[in-house]
Amino acid sequence: MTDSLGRSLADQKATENLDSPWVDQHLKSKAEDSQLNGSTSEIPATIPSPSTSAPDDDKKATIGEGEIAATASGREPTADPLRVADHQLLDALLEQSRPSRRRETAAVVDSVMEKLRANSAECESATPAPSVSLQQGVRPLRGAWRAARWISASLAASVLIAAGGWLGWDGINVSFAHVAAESIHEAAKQPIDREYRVEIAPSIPLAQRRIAKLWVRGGDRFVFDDPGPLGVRLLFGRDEKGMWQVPPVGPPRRGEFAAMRPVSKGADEYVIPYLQLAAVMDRVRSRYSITSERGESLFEGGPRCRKLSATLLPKYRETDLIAPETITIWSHRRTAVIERLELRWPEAGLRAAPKAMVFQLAQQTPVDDQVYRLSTYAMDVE
Amino acid sequence: MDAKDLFEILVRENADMLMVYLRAITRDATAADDLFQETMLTAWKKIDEFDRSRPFGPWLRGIAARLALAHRRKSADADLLFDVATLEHLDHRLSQVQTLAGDTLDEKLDAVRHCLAALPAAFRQAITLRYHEELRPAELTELLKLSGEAVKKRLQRARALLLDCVLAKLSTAEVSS
Repeated sequence: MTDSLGRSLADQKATENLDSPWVDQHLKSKAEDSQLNGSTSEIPATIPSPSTSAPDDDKKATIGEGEIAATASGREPTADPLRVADHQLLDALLEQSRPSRRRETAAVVDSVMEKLRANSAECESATPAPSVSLQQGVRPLRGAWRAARWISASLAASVLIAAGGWLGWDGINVSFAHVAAESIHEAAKQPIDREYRVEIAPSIPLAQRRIAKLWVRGGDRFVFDDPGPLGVRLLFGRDEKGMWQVPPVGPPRRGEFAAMRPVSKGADEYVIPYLQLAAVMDRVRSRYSITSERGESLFEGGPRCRKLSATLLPKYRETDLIAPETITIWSHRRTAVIERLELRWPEAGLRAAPKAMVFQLAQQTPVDDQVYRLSTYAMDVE
Repeated sequence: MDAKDLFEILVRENADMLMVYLRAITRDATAADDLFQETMLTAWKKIDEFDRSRPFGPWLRGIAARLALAHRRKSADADLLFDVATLEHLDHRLSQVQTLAGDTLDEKLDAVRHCLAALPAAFRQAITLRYHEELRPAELTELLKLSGEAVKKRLQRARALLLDCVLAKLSTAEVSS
């Protein structure tokens, strides 16, 4: 087998001084592959033409050099077609890695969803003859035939909705609910400061319900400020150095969840991993059976939230002693931000914890990094 | 949650991957955008045919592949020479991409970024200028003070090395999953 990659890289090294252990290793492995497989590994003779904004003359010039164009021109293909396809995939991945390209894609989705929503709204309000209007700023589809497709597609969609075929998807398949959970998880991981009001219903007899506060920023910062079952303040948090705790008695401490749990044992069991909403959603995705329920408003006249119910999978009931039995999530329909979250534990047995914790989004306001730092609450500890 | 919300979630989740697929097929941004919109509309119409026990992304790509083949039949564009085998191959590759770590395509593309970071500096520079800075070959020639042929070869070699690295990561991720 000839190894054009190996040879050309060797040439390249000689002429362009590309000394690198990485290249040497790659050349060596390529040579070994060549000996083992006896196949040819050609480099497609192309410069990719990926730019979305490239003028036509530039595009034509580069297309003429492309692998596929080479085939089209009647020349023998110089590379395995699937290898060529891999190169095109790599080009596409590199292009899509640009934030600007992803924004363009999101804009296309926005424009299509806008049209679909507009048509379904027209249908719901019994407006006759749904029309398709291209909004300003939305790139129009080219040609009359495309407009005709839009109209026919929109009409078809309107008819489907009017027929009530899929407006009510109660008991929807798990895969849809999991996708929704994914988007909520994504939103929870955003480095945005959010404050939640947390109502705790204790499992200990005679203990009163109490209200705590949670500040959370994405998946790695939080502060849980609890007035405590006996009126003595408790604080848990996570800053750039890791988990920390300010117990009601004793010095502040740092450590992992497991090291902290005994502190609260015998009083009101804290379920620290479930104080961080991104972590909650992470567990929901992997350890719970999720179903989508009909959306509902959290207050009269408020916007309808997306609602998911999650039940702990049986195999985790024996092993995860701190996991809530059920988790119910209300999230914003567009942003997927958690508006309300209910964690419920069994009232008896090994897995007994607080009966319930209910998180309610209070505000979404940037706060200083100091809010999450142990040093803010224990000046002499760092 | 109603159908419109679900459809939107699913489409947004899979939009970047679908666009990658279409751009890999067509190598043309405009054609890819048009096929993308047609795919969404068709998916909207056919959503009740979707087997909900299966993932949405491959179903969406299946629609896109059929539309692309139909588009190719009608088009005189000689650049659209993909065949069913190529479409299937790309679909498989994207399924492998799906197995990479991360929830979003951007997170999954960390694998590509790691490979790019491991390239020799001259190769990394060429790729970065071409794809991230979106410089055209003529601009690269001027900037790098190389001949057009040298720029072309440098990009070829950089892409070949990058592709090998990415394919290795995809294979590993697929096996791990």
